[in-house]
Amino acid sequence: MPLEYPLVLKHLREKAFKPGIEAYLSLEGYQVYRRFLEASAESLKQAMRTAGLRECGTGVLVADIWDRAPQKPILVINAHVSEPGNFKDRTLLRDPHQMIEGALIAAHAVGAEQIYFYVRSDWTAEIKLLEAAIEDARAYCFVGKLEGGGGCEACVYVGGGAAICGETFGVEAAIVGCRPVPSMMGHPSVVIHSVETVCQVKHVLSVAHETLTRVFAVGGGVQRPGCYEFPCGSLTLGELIYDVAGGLVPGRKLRGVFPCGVFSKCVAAEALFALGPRQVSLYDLPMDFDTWPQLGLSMGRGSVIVIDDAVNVRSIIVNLMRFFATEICGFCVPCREGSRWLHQMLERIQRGEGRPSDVELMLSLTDQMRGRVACPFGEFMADSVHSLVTLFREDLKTT
Amino acid sequence: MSDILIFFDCESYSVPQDITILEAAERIGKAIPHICSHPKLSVSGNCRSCLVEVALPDKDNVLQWQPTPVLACSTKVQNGMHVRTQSEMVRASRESVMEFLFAQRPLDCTVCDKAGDCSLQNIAFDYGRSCSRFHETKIKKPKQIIVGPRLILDAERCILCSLCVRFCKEVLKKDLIAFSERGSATQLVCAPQSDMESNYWLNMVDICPAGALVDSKATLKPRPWLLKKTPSISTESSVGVNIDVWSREGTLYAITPRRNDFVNDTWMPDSAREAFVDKRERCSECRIRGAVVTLEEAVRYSAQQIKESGGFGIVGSSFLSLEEQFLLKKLLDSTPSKLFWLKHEDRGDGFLVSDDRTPNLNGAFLSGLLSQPPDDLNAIKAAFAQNTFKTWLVFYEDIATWVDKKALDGKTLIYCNTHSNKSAKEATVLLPALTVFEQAGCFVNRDYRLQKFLKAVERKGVPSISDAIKGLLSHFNITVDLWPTIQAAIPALQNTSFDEIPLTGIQLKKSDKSV
Ligand code: SF4
Ligand code: SF4
Ligand code: FES
Repeated sequence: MPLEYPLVLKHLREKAFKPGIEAYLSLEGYQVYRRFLEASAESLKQAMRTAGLRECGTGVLVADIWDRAPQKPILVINAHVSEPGNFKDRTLLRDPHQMIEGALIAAHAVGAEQIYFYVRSDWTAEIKLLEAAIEDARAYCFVGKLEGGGGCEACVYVGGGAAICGETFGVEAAIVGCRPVPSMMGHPSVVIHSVETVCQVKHVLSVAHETLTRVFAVGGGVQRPGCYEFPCGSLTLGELIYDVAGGLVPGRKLRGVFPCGVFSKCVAAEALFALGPRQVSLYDLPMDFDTWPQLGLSMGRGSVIVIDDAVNVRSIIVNLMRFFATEICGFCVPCREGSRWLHQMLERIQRGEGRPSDVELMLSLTDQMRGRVACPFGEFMADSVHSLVTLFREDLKTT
Repeated sequence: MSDILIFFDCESYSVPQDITILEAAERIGKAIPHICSHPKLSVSGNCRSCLVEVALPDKDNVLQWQPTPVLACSTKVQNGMHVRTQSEMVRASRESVMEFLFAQRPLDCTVCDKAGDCSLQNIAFDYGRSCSRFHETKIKKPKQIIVGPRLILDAERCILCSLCVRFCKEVLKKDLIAFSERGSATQLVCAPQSDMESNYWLNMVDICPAGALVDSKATLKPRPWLLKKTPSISTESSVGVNIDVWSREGTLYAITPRRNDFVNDTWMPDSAREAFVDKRERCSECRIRGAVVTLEEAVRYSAQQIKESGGFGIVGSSFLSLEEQFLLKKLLDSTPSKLFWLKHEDRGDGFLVSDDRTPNLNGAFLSGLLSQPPDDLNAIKAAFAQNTFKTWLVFYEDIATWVDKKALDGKTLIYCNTHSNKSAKEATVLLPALTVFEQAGCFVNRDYRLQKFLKAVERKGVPSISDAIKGLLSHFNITVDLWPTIQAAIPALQNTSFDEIPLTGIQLKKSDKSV
């Protein structure tokens, strides 16, 4: 069984851990920040490049993001990712100082003088905690402009609460106070990082280790759902589901997995993948950054959802479709109209009024959306729904 | 900037740099459907109907077709770019976008005021499916929402293209309407309690591609395909807004803006849209002291009066066309007469309504009638009071309303107007005139742009002002070859006949003044 390697989750793993600043300082908190305050942006970038740290979600190298950063940007920490089944950001927010420290380092590296912690409006407890933490950090002069120049301001920016507000363009729009729709009118001067990424920034610099970790949020039909942290690529999907998360409830059968979250395809339990010359089963796929894109899946944000045979798959699909139909921004025609149409169809099927042609029509509609929508969110939706309908077409037949 | 080479469906064209594929296609006459883009508004890219297939040569000069179609309305052309506008992938994209657009739509083209002049309808004809795969219940949305002072919104017809929102934001610089809600619940709403004053609401009716916004005062017009469209110029102010006049069998039904990038882009003020509605009685016959006469008789009598009285006063008008003004200049020069002129000013709006509320003041400068800004109200009053002239030739100005009744007595008033008014009733000789819609001619706008208007409707039996002035001139043994005279006076027109003047006009210079 692969061994967990908690860096980002280290504090949270300890039962006695308190999120206050004293506790954090006693655990060598803000040491890394102090140490690197004097370091040049270039050396920080180099460290990121050597470690190969990637932005969670997009998989872009953090060093590249910093290279491309605009002049004097605003650093936005996106704690608004609202992918169903992805609960790791919320977990990480319970150790707020770790995130603040990482963010301060990142701000230093890109030359930002302002950090926005952009948090979902419904995470009220986490917002309170974070606000208090920022005040504490300010009292210790970690946050705030320094006399004689330098220093970085930070504040909490409460987002609108829709999933689309957590996508890149939604964040950009929110920061300039606009509706979350894609804009062709240029981008505001921001650098956006996910919560996990800035936490990782701190750890990459703290221990000069070769181990880069990733946090996975495993949920659905497993016995021990939760967040687990492992060195990148050190385990397979099978190990993650069966060994780490406790496997399925005895007596149940695996039907499918969202290995990369619901914003990507759902894969059948018995699926085989061609990895180079080898045929690899789902269980043997390594949880690293490079394997998945070769298989037409994005690595996503590290959430894994397991579907066993005890749940009503039809309800899952209807539920997910309702999520998509209500959480999109409604900017472009194929996604707006397509999602509403699919949602209406699935609800009708749920009511037991399915028609024989429904499955084919749904597949055709998702095909019609692909490549014609205005942002990746619409593509994700099309992929996700298409895979679900293909995989579970028998479950959708009502008659 | 030099032009670049671009291939549309394998044919090469040279187009300017820095334009979008859609603009390039329009220049060379290729049709790419587009709904949410407008030449004068920012790009949005939400309708996805303009998708085309694009390829660029790689370094070995092998064409690399992009795996997914791109937006023609926001992708800039590049040298060597290949564009497919009719491929299978493009057709499929358009078809699917149309299917999505029409899924929830009420199919009420038959009762929609926009039908026949609707981009959505046109594209649906070309690319829509002939049968629907939509078996759900269509979502109900509010209908007949009052938007602003005179628009009605049908939210079910609205395709959320954001053109109207962008128009308010970018052209009017006021957020009059906006979207509320999100996702499939997005709806157009009117900003509550904001300042709804605007003279440009109806432009949103023009640009709305889906018939969702309609003018509450102009519903149930004849269908556009029954109407004839004639290019014309608005006489509202010296801006010279370019318009199209829609008419049928001699009746005018609507005025819409006509694109002229030098003058009004694609917009026009609402106040100019009902210029053809004039409830006053028309002057359509020549009269001498109330008795109907022929033009010859009226002109002969007028000429006789002018000759008898030695000299006469002329009150000209900036509503006269350039041609009429040149004839008037000839009359002024060849008779013992003195010219008076009035200004018509009111506060403009800094956009398409200027302070000068006449269409052709600069024409008077070009024809040499005026050399200074006119302001002769008191001079005219005084001339009447002091009996300076016994005979007056007056165009349009309703002098009887402000010249002393006593001073008017005993004068021979030769009056020329399209509609009846106090002066027309008191005139000794009444000469009718044609409106701007009933004849062709030119106006010179505030920026010295010469623009022509064409005859939209025929008004039989009514002589024009040109006929009247020419008649008068003939009694002084003068014949005028009008267009050569104008050409001689305005060097920029040297080799241009009236028919050759482009619809967007010719830019003249202030110095093109006739001497
Ligand atoms: S694809 Fe969906 S989420 Fe993305 S812009 Fe279009 S409507 Fe919005
Ligand atoms: S009302 Fe018309 S112009 Fe405005 S968003 Fe709707 S369809 Fe577009
Ligand atoms: S015209 Fe290009 S997306 Fe609408």
